[in-house]
Amino acid sequence: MSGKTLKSDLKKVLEDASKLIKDAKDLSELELFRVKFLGKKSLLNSFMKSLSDLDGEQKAKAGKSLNITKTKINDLISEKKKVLSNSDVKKDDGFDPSMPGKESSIGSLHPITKTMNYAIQIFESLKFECVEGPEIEDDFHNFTALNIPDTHPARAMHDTFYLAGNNLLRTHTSSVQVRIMDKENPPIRIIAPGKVYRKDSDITHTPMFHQIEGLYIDKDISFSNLKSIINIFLKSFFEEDELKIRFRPSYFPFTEPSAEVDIEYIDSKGNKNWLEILGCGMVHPNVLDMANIDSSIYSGYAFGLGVERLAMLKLGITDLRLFYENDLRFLKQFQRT
Amino acid sequence: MKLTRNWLEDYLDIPVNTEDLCHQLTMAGLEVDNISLVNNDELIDIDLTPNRSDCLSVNGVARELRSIDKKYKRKVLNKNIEVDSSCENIKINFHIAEKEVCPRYGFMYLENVSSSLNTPEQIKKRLKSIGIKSIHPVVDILNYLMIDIGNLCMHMMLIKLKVIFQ
Repeated sequence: MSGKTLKSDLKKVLEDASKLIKDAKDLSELELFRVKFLGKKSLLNSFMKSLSDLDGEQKAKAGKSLNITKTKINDLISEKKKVLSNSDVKKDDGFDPSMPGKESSIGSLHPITKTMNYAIQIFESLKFECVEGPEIEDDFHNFTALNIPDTHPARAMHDTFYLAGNNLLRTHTSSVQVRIMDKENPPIRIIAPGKVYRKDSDITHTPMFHQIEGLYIDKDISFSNLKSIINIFLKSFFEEDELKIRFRPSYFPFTEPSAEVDIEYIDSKGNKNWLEILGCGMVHPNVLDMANIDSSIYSGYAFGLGVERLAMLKLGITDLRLFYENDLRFLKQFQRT
Repeated sequence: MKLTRNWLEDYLDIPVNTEDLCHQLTMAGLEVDNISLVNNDELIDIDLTPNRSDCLSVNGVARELRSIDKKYKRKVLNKNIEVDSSCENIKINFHIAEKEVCPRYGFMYLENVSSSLNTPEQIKKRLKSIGIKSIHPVVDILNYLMIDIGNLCMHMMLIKLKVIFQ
């Protein structure tokens, strides 16, 4: 046996082994290959035995290359063994294809969001465009531009969260109407839903709540336009044609005249009561002038709805704070409404 | 603004019950939050809007009611106020820094206010029913006048003032 033929034989053995080992399907098959290539009756072993026929230098050389081949095959086998045994663990993790599938639970919209979307939908069908504004406002947009100068007593009604600089968290969505009037020319017909913040927390107040602001500016807009829009909205929102609505004089610095709107409801004792539901009025000429809209040509109305109040009435909830406790038992009741 | 029906009747003849009265106030823009019974009198709690400071007194509410409906007849106040002839006029020169904010300033000087003086029961009772504690006759009377006619008066201790008379 010459050195050259041994070398090519070994090469072939290695090639065969690596091919077969690579394709081995499971551990038992791999064991068979191990016996075939490294066992007592393997080709390699017969080479080992024939080593004794060689002498000195040749013996050492052949032995060395034999050993290298042996180690390589061993490595290949143990590597494959790892791969196969790993995949076997996976196969055995108790997966039962006959089990019914797990339903992944999907969250649902918060009742407040749903109420808001419902109200927005009604206003959009009345051709109001939905816009948004920033929640961090400056003093000018939240107060001054709405006819509430620095010393005005109406500022005390608002329980404002003041931030560093001249900023604050908006106390009403009316600040959005200022931004829109700055940017656009009449006719303007918008609603602005969003979060507002006031420093107040008790059974009927939360520090954060939601409002929908409405604004319509055009030529020849009068209080009767406002009245009809409010009537249409409330009747379609509560899905009741016979809903009793009353307008009661009130005061907001940015509207003149101003009114609060009450609806009649029957309480648990059967008594008829009026419940305040929104504030509205004709946009004050000062507000129009400050936004560079000629108040001698244009007039408009504005209104602000409390979304929580609407949701409570619509869904029959008596405690406002339930909305913000994130109790799943509460929230799940509204998944399908 | 809190006031009682009895107090309001100082100024007006009220031919209706309190609920009807409050409904009229509410529909005129002075929203009545609550009516409750206090000391055999009906307490009316008005949630006043900031543009109606003229109604921050019993007199103001009476004036408003009179203008809403003529059935509320204004009573003629027939009180003879006697002035003790021993009262002196003291002349002090005041300097009013902000004429626009304070066009007129008046004061009265009381001496020898006895510490054993008591506030008249009627005043005490009315103040109590709208939630103001009785403190001292002088303070009580000033508080009463503030609620009654809507004019705010301050009392000051002479010894704590740096004003020098004469």
